[in-house]
Amino acid sequence: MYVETHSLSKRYGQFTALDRCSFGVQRGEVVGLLGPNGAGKTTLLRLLMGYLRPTEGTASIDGLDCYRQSCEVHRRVSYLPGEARLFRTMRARDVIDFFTAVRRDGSGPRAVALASGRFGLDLSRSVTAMSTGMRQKLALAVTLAVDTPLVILDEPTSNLDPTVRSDVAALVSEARQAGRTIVFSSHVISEVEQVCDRALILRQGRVVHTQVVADLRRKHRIRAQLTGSLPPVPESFNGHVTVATNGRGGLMIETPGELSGLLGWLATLPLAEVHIEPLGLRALYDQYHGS
Amino acid sequence: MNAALWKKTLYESRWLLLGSAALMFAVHWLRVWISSFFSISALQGMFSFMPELVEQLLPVPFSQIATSAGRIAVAYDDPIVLLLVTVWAISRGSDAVSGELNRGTMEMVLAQPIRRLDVLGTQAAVTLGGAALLAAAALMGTSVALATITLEESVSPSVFVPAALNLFAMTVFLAGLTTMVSSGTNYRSQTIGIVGGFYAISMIVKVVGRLAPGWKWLTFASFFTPFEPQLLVADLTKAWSLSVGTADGSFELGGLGYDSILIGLGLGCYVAAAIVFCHRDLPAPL
Repeated sequence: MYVETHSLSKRYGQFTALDRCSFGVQRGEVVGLLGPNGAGKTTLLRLLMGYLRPTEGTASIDGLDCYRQSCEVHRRVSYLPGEARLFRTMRARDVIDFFTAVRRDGSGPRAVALASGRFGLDLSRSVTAMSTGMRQKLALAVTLAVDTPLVILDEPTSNLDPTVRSDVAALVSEARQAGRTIVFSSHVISEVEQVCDRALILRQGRVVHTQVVADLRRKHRIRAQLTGSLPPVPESFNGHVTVATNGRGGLMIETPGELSGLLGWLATLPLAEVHIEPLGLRALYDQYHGS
Repeated sequence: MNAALWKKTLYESRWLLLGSAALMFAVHWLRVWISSFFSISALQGMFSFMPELVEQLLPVPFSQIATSAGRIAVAYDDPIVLLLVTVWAISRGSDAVSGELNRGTMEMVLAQPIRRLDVLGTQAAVTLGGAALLAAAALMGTSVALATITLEESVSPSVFVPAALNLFAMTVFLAGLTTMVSSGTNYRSQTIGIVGGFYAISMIVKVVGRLAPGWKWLTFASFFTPFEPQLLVADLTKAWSLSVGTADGSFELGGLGYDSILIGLGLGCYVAAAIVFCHRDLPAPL
């Protein structure tokens, strides 16, 4: 594992921000962290960056302890904080110059190409005169321009318009194709679904579910209204599908795999208003965080 | 240390440093110029009417202040000079950790392969270098003025070197103390509030210790006690000694003793700041 945590916990007095979190990320994998505010996503990422001392457990990147060897760890990581704040007294170009000069693997031309080319920023503009979205784009450019094996992004698309969000997703995909490992947190479920190999759902500081996204794409949910009585489920589907009724004629069937076998049986049922949809991350997320 | 970090720290402090150094030079030059308008005998006459309480508050007797060197030396603890070094020390010291945390920029800086000690070390080097520049600007102001303005009695600029050194030592202490407080706090205003309170209490303690009979021991609790530039100009033997013997057979600190205490305490504060900063949790930008 390139990134690994074992029983990683962070407590502030009585408050537990992260509770015995254990997970691993393989080299070249893209992992998304999902959860509402306060779920522990940022705490987990900040522990990986060595900003916080773990109350319990360990975190390592490339076999290096994230807290004790943070400087060595940072040579392997490019990190975008959730609230990326840049030096307000500088112009965008000076910010790029600083972040590319401060580390050996920084690339000024690549950062400039990203910032002015892809994100359309005016580099002569002062950081103070930039909008929140512009500053986020600038921070993204300096983060993604560094050629490190691991990229950690904490809510990279917050404050960005939909067009730039797509650009960010494309950049993450490019980084993945280049063999880089990516860990990123987001509130936007579709974004995680689009670019991640695996998603971790966090709730109240704990990892409550790990989902391989490719597996999820095969899952489907069928919702319909019963117009007659529901016959018994054929034995061949036992253990493969979940069938539930709500007592008001509503029927919901979930299947983890191939749909074709199920469609023949569905055609025999007394149904109206049939909806078939992929069982995406949203449905899974709602199991843990739905109202 | 990292060249980009040096550049950034110098870039951020350049206007304050250049402005303060220019003012420091001007204040000291002006002091000599103003001194040239008064004769020693006129000042002695004026001081004879001053109440004894005022003399008690001063570090040197009126007779010393009436001399050319004494009048010029007043500039080294002039309120404007104190304000300049205090603003430099507190603004740079508070910026070192709590300032960067407050602005949220520390997160991005420490995401780079830079040790926390390097961040603090660069800040400390620029702050102490600035303190040296301010003291040098003070001495330069006095020296240039003495070379160009005619006074009633001739004074060598070298007489003021201990005063400038003492000013530097006081700045080092104040910068170290502020950096130590800054390393443990999250808000710059918190740091400035704590150090500002300490500064005011120290000043009050020294005044009370000097004025109230039986309370002299209080002066040992103030960092202003080893800051006596006027005294060091008045007594050059004391100025260049670690300690000197007194008439009653005991010893008291000399100028180098004063400077050693202030610089030692300041550097001690920097060491404490490094320990705190390297081991603390960094809060998320607020």
